[in-house]
Amino acid sequence: MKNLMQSLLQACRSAVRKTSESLSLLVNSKVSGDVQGVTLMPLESLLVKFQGIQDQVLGIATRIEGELKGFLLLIINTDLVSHLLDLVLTNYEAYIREEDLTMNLEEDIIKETANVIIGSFISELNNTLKLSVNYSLPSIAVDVIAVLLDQLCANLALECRNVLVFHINLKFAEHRHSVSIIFLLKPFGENS
Amino acid sequence: MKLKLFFVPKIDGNLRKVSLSVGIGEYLIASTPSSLSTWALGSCISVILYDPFKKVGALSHCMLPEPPSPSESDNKYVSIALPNMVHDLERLGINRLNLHAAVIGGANIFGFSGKFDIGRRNVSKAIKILNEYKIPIDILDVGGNKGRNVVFLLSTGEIFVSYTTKNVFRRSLYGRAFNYRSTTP
Repeated sequence: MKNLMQSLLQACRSAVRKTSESLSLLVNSKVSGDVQGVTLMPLESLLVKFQGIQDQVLGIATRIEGELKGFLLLIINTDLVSHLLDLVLTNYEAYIREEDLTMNLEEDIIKETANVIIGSFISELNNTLKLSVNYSLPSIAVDVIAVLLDQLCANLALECRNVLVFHINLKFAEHRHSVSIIFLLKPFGENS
Repeated sequence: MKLKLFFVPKIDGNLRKVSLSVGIGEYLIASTPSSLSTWALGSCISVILYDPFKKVGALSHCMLPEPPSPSESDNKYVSIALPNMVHDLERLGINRLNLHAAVIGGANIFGFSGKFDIGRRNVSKAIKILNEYKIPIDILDVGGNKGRNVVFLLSTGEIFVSYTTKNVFRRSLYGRAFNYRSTTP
C-alpha cells in the first residue's frame, strides 16, 4: 500500500509537469505546477475542511473510472476565469465568428481548457503507472468549494469511507491566482 | 403551516455566530430560543422536525439515503438519522403527531444522472420516511443545481435559506465576451 502511494505520488508529479506543459501551449503563457500534498482522510473531514469558505469558484468535475476510481475536480477562481478566457480568446481570435457569441463560447473554452488539463494528467498517469484509467466528460458548476465537494464526496461515500486527496496547484505567470486540482481517489482495496 | 420559509441573499452574520452548527452526519435537538444551522448543503439534505407548541425541534445534515449494509448505524444516512431524530424527540416528551417537517437541499450540482443523482435519492428517502411517520411536510425546498445554507429559529419556526451561488456569474461572462469581440476589428 505504501509503495503504491509512493508510486502514485511520483506519477502525479510527472503528470503535473506534463499538464503544465500542455496548458502553457494552450494559453501561450508559462504555467508551473506542483503537488501540494497527499492525504488519506475520512470523506466528512474533507467537507468540514472547506465548509467555512464562502468564495464562489468555478468547478469542473470528471469521474475517473478503471483501475483507479474517483474524481478529478478543477477549481478555478472567478478572477482567473477571466484571465484564462483572455489568454485563450487571444489565441483563437481569428477563429471566432459572430454566431459564436450566441453560443456557449465561454463554457466551451473552459471545458476545452479542462479537457487539456484532465487529458494530459490522466494520460501521463496511465503511461507512468501502466494503468488503464478512463474519465468522463467534464461537468461545470459555479458554487462554493464545500458544495462542489459535497456531491463528489456523497458519490464516493457509496463505495468508501475514506478518500485519498492529492492537492495540486497550477500557477500562471503574471497572475496571483492558480488552478487547483483536487484529485479524489477511492483508497485501494477499500469497500464500505 | 407551522414552519415558515424565507429566502435570503445571505445569512446574517450574528445569526451565523449564535446558531448551533450541525455538521455532516449529525443532528441536533434544541428548544427556544436557540437556533440551529447547517452550511454548504450540496446533494446532502437537511431535515427539520418541529413541535410548534413546545417550540422544540431538530435539524439533520445527511449525506446518503441509506447504508450499504443493515449493520450500519451512522447518522449520515437519511434512513438512520430520521428515525433516530423522531425517537429522541419522543424521549423528550414530544408527541409525534405534533411534529411538522421541512426538507431542504438535495441539489444536483454537477448534473449527474441515475444512481449518481444522490440529491434526488436523499429527498425521496426523506419524504418516504416522513410519510410513514405521518409527519406533515410544510416546506420542501429541494433539487436544483445550487448549494444552500440553512438557519432554523426554534422560537418562531422560521427557516432562512440562502443559496450559495447566484446566476450573475454566467451573465458577466457573456458580457465579457461581447465586450471583447466589439473591441476587435
